[in-house]
Formats: sequence, C-alpha cells, structure tokens
Amino acid sequence: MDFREKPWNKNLQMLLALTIAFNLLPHLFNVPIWVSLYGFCAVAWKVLYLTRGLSLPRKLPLSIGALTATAAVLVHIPLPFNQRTAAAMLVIIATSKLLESNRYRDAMLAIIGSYFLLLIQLLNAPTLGTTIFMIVDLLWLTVLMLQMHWDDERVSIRRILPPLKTVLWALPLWLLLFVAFPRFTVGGLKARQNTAETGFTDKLNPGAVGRLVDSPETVFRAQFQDIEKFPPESFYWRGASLAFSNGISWARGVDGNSTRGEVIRPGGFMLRPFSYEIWMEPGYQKWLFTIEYTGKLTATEHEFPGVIYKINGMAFEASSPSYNRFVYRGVANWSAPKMEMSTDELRPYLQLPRGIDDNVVQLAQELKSDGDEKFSSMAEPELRYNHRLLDWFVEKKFRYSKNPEALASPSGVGQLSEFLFQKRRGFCEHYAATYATLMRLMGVPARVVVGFQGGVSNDVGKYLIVRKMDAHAWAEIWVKDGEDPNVGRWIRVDPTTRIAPLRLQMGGDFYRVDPRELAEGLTKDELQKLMDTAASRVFRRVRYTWDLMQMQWNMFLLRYNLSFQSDLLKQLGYEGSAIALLGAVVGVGFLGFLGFVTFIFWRRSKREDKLVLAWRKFCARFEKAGLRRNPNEGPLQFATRAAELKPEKSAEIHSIAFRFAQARYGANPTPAELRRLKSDLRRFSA
Amino acid sequence: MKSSRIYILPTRFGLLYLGGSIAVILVGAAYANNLANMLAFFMLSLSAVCFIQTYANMRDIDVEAVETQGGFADSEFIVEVVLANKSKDARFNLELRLRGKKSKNVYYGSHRVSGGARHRIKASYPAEKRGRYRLNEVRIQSIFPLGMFRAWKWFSIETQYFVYPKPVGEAHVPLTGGAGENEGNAPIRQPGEDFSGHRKYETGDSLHHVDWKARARGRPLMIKEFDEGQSGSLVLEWSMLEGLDTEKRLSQLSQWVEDSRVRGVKFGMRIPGAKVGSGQGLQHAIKCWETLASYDASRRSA
Repeated sequence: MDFREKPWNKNLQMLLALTIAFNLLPHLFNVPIWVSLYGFCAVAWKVLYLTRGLSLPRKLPLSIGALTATAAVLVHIPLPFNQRTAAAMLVIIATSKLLESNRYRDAMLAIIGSYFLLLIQLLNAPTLGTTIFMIVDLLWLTVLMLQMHWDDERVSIRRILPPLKTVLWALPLWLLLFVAFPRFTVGGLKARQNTAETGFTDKLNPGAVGRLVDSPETVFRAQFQDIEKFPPESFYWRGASLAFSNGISWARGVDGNSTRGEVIRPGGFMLRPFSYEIWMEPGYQKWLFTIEYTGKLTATEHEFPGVIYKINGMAFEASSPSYNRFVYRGVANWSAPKMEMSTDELRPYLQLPRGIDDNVVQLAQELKSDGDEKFSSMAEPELRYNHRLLDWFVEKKFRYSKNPEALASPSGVGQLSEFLFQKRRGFCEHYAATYATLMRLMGVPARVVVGFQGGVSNDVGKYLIVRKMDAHAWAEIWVKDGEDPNVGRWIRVDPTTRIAPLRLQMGGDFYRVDPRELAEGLTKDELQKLMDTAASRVFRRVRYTWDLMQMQWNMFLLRYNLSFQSDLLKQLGYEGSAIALLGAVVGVGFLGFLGFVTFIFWRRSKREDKLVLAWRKFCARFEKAGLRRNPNEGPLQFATRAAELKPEKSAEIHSIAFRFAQARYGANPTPAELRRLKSDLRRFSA
Repeated sequence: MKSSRIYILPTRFGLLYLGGSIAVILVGAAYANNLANMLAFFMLSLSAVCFIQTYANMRDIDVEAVETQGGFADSEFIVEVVLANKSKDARFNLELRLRGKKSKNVYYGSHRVSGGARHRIKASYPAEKRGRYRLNEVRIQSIFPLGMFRAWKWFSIETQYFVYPKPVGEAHVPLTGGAGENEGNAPIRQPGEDFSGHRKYETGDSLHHVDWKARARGRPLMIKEFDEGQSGSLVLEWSMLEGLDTEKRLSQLSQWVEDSRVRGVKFGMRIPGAKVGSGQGLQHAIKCWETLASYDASRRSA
C-alpha cells in the first residue's frame, strides 16, 4: 500500500479542512443560509474529529444528508442553473468529501472543488479584493498540494518555500499567457452573471426609491474636468423619464420608446458643452445614466458591449443588458436644450389618470387661478403655476420622510388624494409624482424623471462616486420659449429643493445624518462638521485610495480584451487575424519555455556525468594491458586489480580510486577537489 | 543497472486539473471575465512547471542492486532495491513498482534521497503459487511535487525469487527410537550410510543415537557416528511420503524443514532430481525451501 492509500497524518488533514473553510468564506452570503451552515458544520465536525477524536459520520447517513441538501438546493433556487446553484452544490460536495474519509482520492477532489469555488467567486465579484483573495488562495492551494505529495509526516512552515519556488517558475509562462492568449468570446452564452437587484424598474411606485437609499453600494463613477470643484447640488443623473401617470405611481409609457421626436433645435445647447466619462458597475442591466443634459453618448468596442440607443425623455439605453463593467462617454450641457415637440408628441405628457378625486381637480383649479393672480409678473403661465404649487407644499407644511406611513388607499388616484390632503409626508418620489400630476391638471405638460442626485467626490482620484443612496426622483415641465407652443424646453423642477434643501446640498449623505440633528435646523456645513471626525477623514482617505486602485484595476481588466489585443497588433504592423497569431505565439512560447527549462536541467546533470566519464576513460586505459573493469565492480576493487598489474603506479591508482569513491559515494567534494580529481583522471597514463 | 528512458504521463488528478483549467478558460470567455482567465493561466503554467519538475525528479536515478527474499505460498515475499541518486540534488518520493503486482503492507517509497546517496526500499508482495520466478524488471516512479504527472523508469534486472511450498501437514518430524527399526511408514530418521565409529556418550547426547546393541553386549554407553554429515542428522526423504500427491508432499517437507530449523537440528533433504546435504540454521533451511520450490514434476527421476 502506498502513501496514497494510507490515512494521512492529522496535520495534513487539518490543513485541508482549513483550506476548504477558507474557500467557503466568500460564498457565505452567496448561497442559501442553510448551505453555509451545512458547510461549516461539516468543517467543524472534521476539526473536532481531528482534535478531539469525535468519530466521523458513516457513509450511508452522510450520503443521505448530502443528497438531501443537494435536492433542496435545486428546489429552492429557481432555474436556470446559475452561480448560486453551482456554488451551493460545490459547497455541499466539497465539505461532504472532507467528512467522508481521509483518503488521497477524496482530498484531490476536494482540492479541485476549491478551485471551482474560487472561480465562482471571481465571477460574482470581480474586484481588486477578490484578486488579492485569489492570489492568496492559489498560493495556499499550491502549498497544500505540495504538502500532500511530499509524503512525509511532517507539516512545517519551512515547506512554504518550495511551492513558492514552483510558483515563481510558473510566473514567466503565466505572463506570456496573459499578454498573448487571445481573448476570444464564446457567443450565445448570455448567462446572468450578477443576480443583484438593481432597484430600477420601469415603474415608479411609492417607496421604490426609498428602498434604494439604504445602500452605499456604488452604481457608477463619473469623471470630467474639475469635477471635484462642483458642489453636490449640481449633479443630476438621469436614468429614465416616466410619462404615464397613475396618480402617485408612474410608468414609462411612451418614454420607454426609442426617440423619434424630441428634436433638439440648432443652437439648442447654448453654453459650451463638456465631455465626461462614466464607469458603470455591473448589474444595472440596460440603464445608462447620464448627467443633465446630455446630448450624445459614445463608447468604444473595448469597453462597451452592444449599441447605445437614444430613448424618449432625453435618456439613453443599451441594446442588451450587460453583466460586466463598462465605460461610456457623453457630451453634455448644463442648461436645458431648446427643443421642438409637436402637439401629438406633447399629448402623452398631459395624460391624466382616470378617476381623479374631485378635490384634487378643484385644488388644481384653485392653484391655477391663484398662481395667475399672485405671479402675474411672470410671463410664462407654466412658471406661475409651478411657483404657486411649490409654495402650496410649503404652506401646508409637507414633510420629507424616508419611511412615511404607507398610503392606505388601494388605487393610485386614491393615494394621490390621501397624500395631498391627509398624510402630507413623503419622499422624493411622492413629491415628484404628485407635482407632475398636478401640473398636468393645470394644463402643463409634465413628466417624472428617476435617476440619481449628488454623489461623493473621491478627491484622491478626482472622480465622483455615485451610490445607490444617491437615488432620486424629480419632475420636468415643458416651458414654451416664445410664441410657438411647440418650441420650448423641458425645465427641471425638483420639489425636494423646497421641501428638504439639505438633501440636495449633501447628496446621499443626507440619509446618514442623525434625524435629531436634522431637526435642529443646522446648516449643511455644520452637519458636515459633525459627521466629519478626524478618524472618519483618515478612513475616508484610505477608502478613496482603495476605490481608486479598484477602479484602475477593474478598468485594466475590462480593457484587456480581444479588440485591444488586435489594436496592439495593428500598431505593430500586423493586420491579419489576431487569434491566429496570438494562438501561435502562445503555442511557441509554451513549447519554448518547456524546452528552455528542460535544457537547464539537462545541463546541470551533465556536469555530474563528466566525472563518471572521466573515471570510465581512466579505467579504459588499462584495457590495453588486458585489464577490463566489470560493469558492477567498485572503484576500490578495480584499483586493487589495476595496482597488481602496474605496481609502480600503485599509490597513484589507489589515490585516484579512493578519491573517486569518496566523490561518488561519500561526502560531496569541494569544487577544487573535484577539479583536481578530474584532471588526475585525465592525465593518468597507463 | 542500465539506465533507461524517463516516461511521463498525467495522473488522474493531473487530467482533472488540466480539464478544469480548460473549463475555466471557457467560463472566462463566456463571461468576458479576465480574472477567470488569470486563474486558468495560472493553472496551466503550474501544470507546465510541474511537468518539468516531475520529469527532472527522475533524472539520474539508478537501481544498483536488487535482493529478494522468498516467502511461503499465500504469504509474502520481499524485494529490496538499492536506489542510487547519481545527481547532486535530492530526489523525492520515489516509489518501487513491480509489473503487475501490488505491494502488501510494507510501505515502499522513499521520502528523500540526497544527492549522491543511496537508499534501500523494501517492499513485500503477496506470494501465490510455489515456484521459482524470474524478476526481470522493476519500475521506479514518482508523482512529486504536485501529483499532476507520473514519471517513471524501467530497470532491467536479472534476478529471481522463490515462493516456497506452504508448510502443511504434521507439525513435527516424527522420530522413532532405536536404530535399524524399519516399519511400514518408514521413519524419517535414517542411519547414515557409512558407520565411522563410536565415541563416548556425553550428557546431552540424544539417546536415539546410542548404540544399544553394543551396550547390551556390555560395552559402555557409546554414540554411533556416521560420516558425510549424515551422523546424527535427519534426512528428509521424498520417498517417505508415499501416497500423498506432489504438492502435499512438498508442503509436508516444507513444514518439516521449518520444524527442523526451529529445533536446531542438522538435516538434509532428498527429493527426485535434487539433494541437499546436511546443515542447520536459517540459510540452510532456505536452501531446502528453494529446492522444494523449484521442484519440477516433469523431471521426475527414480
């Protein structure tokens, strides 16, 4: 029986158990909770078995347990088969194997399982942190693999060096592969990579934005010249606009369609446009967020899959959902462009929900006439009504609240009345929705926009980070420019400006403020100071530096793909198929590397053989005198026979033979001794 | 021993690993995930380096001597190999393999053989039928360092091992009293051919060897001596086991050899086609056993 069938020593088993536990860690939250529990219980059991002698479960109960768990996974997680399922099953398999026995075969399967667990983690969260985890994990696994085959009872720290040496030898080859391996894509495999809920849907229901605001997760990063100099209130990021009103809920309606209307007039953008770049995190499907007011979006093949579509509502969309990071560029203008919209195109924006309460209609009429009266100095009626309505919100002491009481009414229009006349407490989506509906009642085309507002500036990297907690909803009204009702601009109106101006001044950080401090009516700077301790400043700097490194690493990984490699080759003058050339480079490089290293090993052992060759030549010199060395004859025996033949050279023969025997069978000679021996062997003449 | 070529192939784990790395590349291509590609490249590079290291670990390994130790049928025999590492660097995890045989319970590898050093590997193998077997080649293999590849070398040797007949039958050699008694089932013990004289009886001499007839005639107690190693020794004779088939006879003789050896008695053996002179001790017993093992029924002689 060889070492592969012996149960190995406890230390090695413990190392294997710990390796598997390490690989389980990142999946703790990816898999159903009971799978994590199963995994950790299995590992804990194994550890107890190793340390306290707790006996392992028998084969039958263990198999039943594992099969039940697997079946439960397949039932619980809906098809199609994706990362979560695969990860859960791997966890069950790997930990069950660990418990099953101490045999080599099972350990090797557990190791392969660990590699696949690692792979799944790389797909789930391709970040810099995961990269570091991968490096540590691969080193650990290599150490474990070496320990297992070293076949010796000791498991010591010094054993880390040889596997590191092996890894170092592998690095040049790895580099060759990384640079030259053609990044082909396998078409048709559009599996979901990320099952994160983005929170952005085609509808805006009360509470939709409120739910997003709890998460500090990054949605995208944006950069343009001097971005860090702008205050948060400058930044409005448009996701999509909603045209269909249900009172308080809104839906996309026509604003889900590709744009046919909304022609921007020549000279529509007055101020000088600026260009910016956005780096989207994975998981946001087709949404392309743009800064207000963006006229054009572009992207390169390297960095963006698919095509960009312009849609109604001055928004943009990707042709297909992407589960990877991507980059796109935009050209924007701070002021709203002058546009042309026909009466037909404007009609949807006057749509009213059916069954609006009479008191709401009445309110609208009152506000309209009131507005005409109070703001008669304003030329545009739209602006008059706008101001009156916003003032009314403030007069009636409407409050801004992230988690207002749920609206009891079952219908959208009912909820609308409830909000306007009873509750009077809501979040940005409530205000945007009711504002737009009321404006429509007053005869002004209006719509709701969802996206983000604000963001936090990474002063280390000089870009803006926009997070889920910056999510926001606001409204737009169509204001005529001059006499022609079909020429005008969509002007943004954000009711939150009047109701909770701090929200705009602080961006999403507004939600981090203690409500009590908010109630005290402190200014933005005072609140900022309260949140901004020395420790948090240091922490912030560390976090931003890390964010920058992450971002650069992610961009590098993103950009290094086949079109990049092709471009590189084109620059070097090669116009043909990148895949063919790179494939050839990889093949040749691989073989070349193998040949090179084999050559090195060959050379080293050749030196040793030179001594034996010299000895053989020495012995051959006696053949003329009739003495032949037997192949298995030892040097000293031969020397005795040779000395008998040539007694005058007896001392020399014995000395040479003795030293040769020492060199071959005894202690390693010094290089000087070796040289002397070789030269003596060569120079000897029988 | 003549050194042979090094052969190398992936192990089952190695195939799994390589297959796995290809799977990872495909996954990386499907999801356009460069980190998965990096993982695959690492796995491939590691395999390549492992290939070289496993190959290099077999270089300059030589088998200098092979010794065998026979055993009984249904028991085990031992093969001991002297491995020499003729290079300057250490070699690790060398295993001994015989063609078509699986070793029993003796561990048969070596952890580490330093540069220029020698190491004995001893392995036991199950012995089946009795006989004389040639051992033509041994294999030295290793899966060091990572278990992905197996490298091996064949060494042709010319040696043999014996599987002795399993000792079966009456445990002890039956001895009869008195010289000259010859019954139907002839006693194993037989007086020698040539009477060479008397010597004085000394305390401790077996009473069976006393010349009683002489004593009866009034002579003092004397021990009869016979020459040519037959004096006072047993001769295990084939012909004594009339009625048993060949294998049973061999097994019985084998048992009696063991019995004689244990008792420290001098004994010899005579079977058709072979004869072993008198001797005692383990080496002598082994010689007898080897003779028994080599018994070839087709060469029956009178």
